[in-house]
Amino acid sequence: MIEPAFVRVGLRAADWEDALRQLSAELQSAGHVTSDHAQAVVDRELRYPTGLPGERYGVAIPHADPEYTALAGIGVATLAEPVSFRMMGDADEEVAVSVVVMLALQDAEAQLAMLRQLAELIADGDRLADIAQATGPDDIRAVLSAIDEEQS
Amino acid sequence: MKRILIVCGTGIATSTVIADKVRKRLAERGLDVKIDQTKVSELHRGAKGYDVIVATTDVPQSIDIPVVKGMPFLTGVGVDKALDDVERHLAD
Repeated sequence: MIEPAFVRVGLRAADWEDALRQLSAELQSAGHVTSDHAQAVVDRELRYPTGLPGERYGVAIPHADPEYTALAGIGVATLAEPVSFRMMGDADEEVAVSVVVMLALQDAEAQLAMLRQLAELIADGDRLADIAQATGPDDIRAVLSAIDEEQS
Repeated sequence: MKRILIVCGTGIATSTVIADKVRKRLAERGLDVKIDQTKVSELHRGAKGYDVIVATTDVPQSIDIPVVKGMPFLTGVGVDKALDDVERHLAD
């Protein structure tokens, strides 16, 4: 199961950068990242975009380098209206993103279990849809808590 | 043993996930491979000795090793085709 640092339902964001700055602020207030994390995650998204086209809903997994992380974790947000992110690996393409999973990363082994669970979530169209359609934070927490590492 | 290099922006997030998936899925196909991961900014040192690169970023043109896009291993969309490509390059 994943214990998120925060969950947000129906985040209103003007664009991808606005979404990233809002979510970085949440991670920061939860003690997971440093104050310069917001700019770092925006800069990294520009260089290495993280939008991924899922089966039904686009998802983005923005993250910065480990030096901006105080405590590993993830924050999950659904967007009130999908926001356009550039696509991972193909920056000329755009993805309409409904779910943003922001990662506060530390080096390697410490977060392997978390990354595996996250991978399972992203590759699972049904689970992603359940998150995208959540009407409250508890809906999202329920999906995350049902993720079993062994299935990945 | 055949060697695969997984490349992403930080070398610790998406590449870890992809390395995991590639190892598992190739094992299902009876293929045992050595997998390393790195960040794209380290690639200027070259990628000598690798048979194929799986990347979620653009790879410098100076790298003359076949590259397979890694995103299908994250989303699950098109993963069989991506595995076929990896397997083909391993066989070359």
